[in-house]
Amino acid sequence: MRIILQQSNLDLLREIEQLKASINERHKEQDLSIASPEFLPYYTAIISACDQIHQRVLKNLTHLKLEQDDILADILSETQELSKQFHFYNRHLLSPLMRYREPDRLCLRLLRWLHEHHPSTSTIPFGFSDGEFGIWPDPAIPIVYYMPTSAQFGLLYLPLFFHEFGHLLYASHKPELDDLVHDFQQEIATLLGPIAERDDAYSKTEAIKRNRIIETWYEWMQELFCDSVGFWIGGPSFVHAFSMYLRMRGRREFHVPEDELAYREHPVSWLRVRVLVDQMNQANFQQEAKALEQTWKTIAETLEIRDDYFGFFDEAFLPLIRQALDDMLTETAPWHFSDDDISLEKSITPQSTPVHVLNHAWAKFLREPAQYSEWQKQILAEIKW
Amino acid sequence: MSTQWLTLQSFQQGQDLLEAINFVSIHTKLQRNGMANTENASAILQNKEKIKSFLQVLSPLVQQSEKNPDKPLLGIDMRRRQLVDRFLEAKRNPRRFRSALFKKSIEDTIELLDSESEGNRQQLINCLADLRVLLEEHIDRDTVRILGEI
Repeated sequence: MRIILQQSNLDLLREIEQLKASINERHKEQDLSIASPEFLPYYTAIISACDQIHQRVLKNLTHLKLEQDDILADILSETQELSKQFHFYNRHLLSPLMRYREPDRLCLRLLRWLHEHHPSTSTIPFGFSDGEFGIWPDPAIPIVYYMPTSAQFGLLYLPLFFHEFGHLLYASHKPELDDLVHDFQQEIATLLGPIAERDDAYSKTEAIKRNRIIETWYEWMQELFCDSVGFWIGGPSFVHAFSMYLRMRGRREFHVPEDELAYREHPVSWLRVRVLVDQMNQANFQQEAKALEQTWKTIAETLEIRDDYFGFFDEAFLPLIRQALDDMLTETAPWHFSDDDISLEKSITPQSTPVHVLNHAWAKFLREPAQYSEWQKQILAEIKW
Repeated sequence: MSTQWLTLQSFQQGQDLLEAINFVSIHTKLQRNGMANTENASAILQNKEKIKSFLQVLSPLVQQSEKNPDKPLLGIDMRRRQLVDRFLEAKRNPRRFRSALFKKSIEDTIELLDSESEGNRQQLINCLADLRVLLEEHIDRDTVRILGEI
């Protein structure tokens, strides 16, 4: 076993050194400090993570030299975990560095602005890569945001990063937010009524279903919180991006069969729209809320779909959801758009916030779609986030 | 929008914890074998604290689930709920999980982590070994989702 472990650790050591050399090579080619200063902390964090894994591998080799048989199982576990960690970095966290190109700066600058405007995220390094919109939101490791390639070259879908940023805020304030979600789930449990005391099969089935509903709301509240963060930061630009991105993705955005709802990580998109509409009404965006609601209703009617959440959502949940989301926003205090940011009368200037630009972008696209691409080209040349 | 955040958090927490378990286990075994201590005191304390914090969070969840198996666990994600279930399953399998962690209580293991007594070292080593098996099996699913299968 000692020889096997020695070989595996030496192999890992070689891989890490090889990888570090190619990262450094790439860094020299690009000169990130000049090409993309917002990306430099990510590079530094990745190199530092590789160094830490390297140190732990060296430690394994030192322990192996002690010739103590009873620690071989520990070294085996440690080597396996280090291999997984290294492959995780290799597979997911390296691509933002290796694929970096000049157009990435648009997204990176928006993300830098986003991170800098919150005390709990201002020092967290981040990168971004190709993929479905998403994030690896663990503040203990470098953050990676994902965005589909076509969306990276324009403004319209950038507001969806605000939702992803919500996941990072949740992770950064996890104990407090978990407590709030706990209280919310407790209220849902009260609303759904006590578990029947009868010891028959029907009561047991009902109790299992009730528990599934209550537990599923943990994940759903995190997603709804992220949608709220999206709206709180981006205002109408987030709502437009969210709705346009999801509404043509098929029937499942409107209806999911009962047996697939339990423990689903996202609520059905139509339900998310319902909650967003509520949030917009609370924030005095009645007209925009009505338009959003109507759009989704029209598509649902054409698909002949009725909103049915099989007990996983009830109208009576809405005030509780509203209260919990308000509390979660108060706890995390994300940056909030100002009147100027959503004003379309106010022109874009080099000092405009990203949110102001994004709201203009959506207004322009919806009003004059044929002229939008040309307009975007001009704006991208001017903005200095 | 991707749903990988849950998997990543579970994977990363598992990795951190396994690193701490391996650290404390190796240190305790070397100490038991009379080898010179090469680790600094703060690193030992830090890794023990990491395991203790995890067990302190796990303990009330396990107790609640044992007392009221029909009640839902609130304020925790799906993967953590599954870990609680896995822990309870392990408790019901004394042939495989034989340490004090499963035979006695989580609090006993926390005490073992604080103990400096030579007599408790073997018990602690056994508890850490069992906890490691539990966690490795638990994060296997996350690993497959994150790294895929060849």
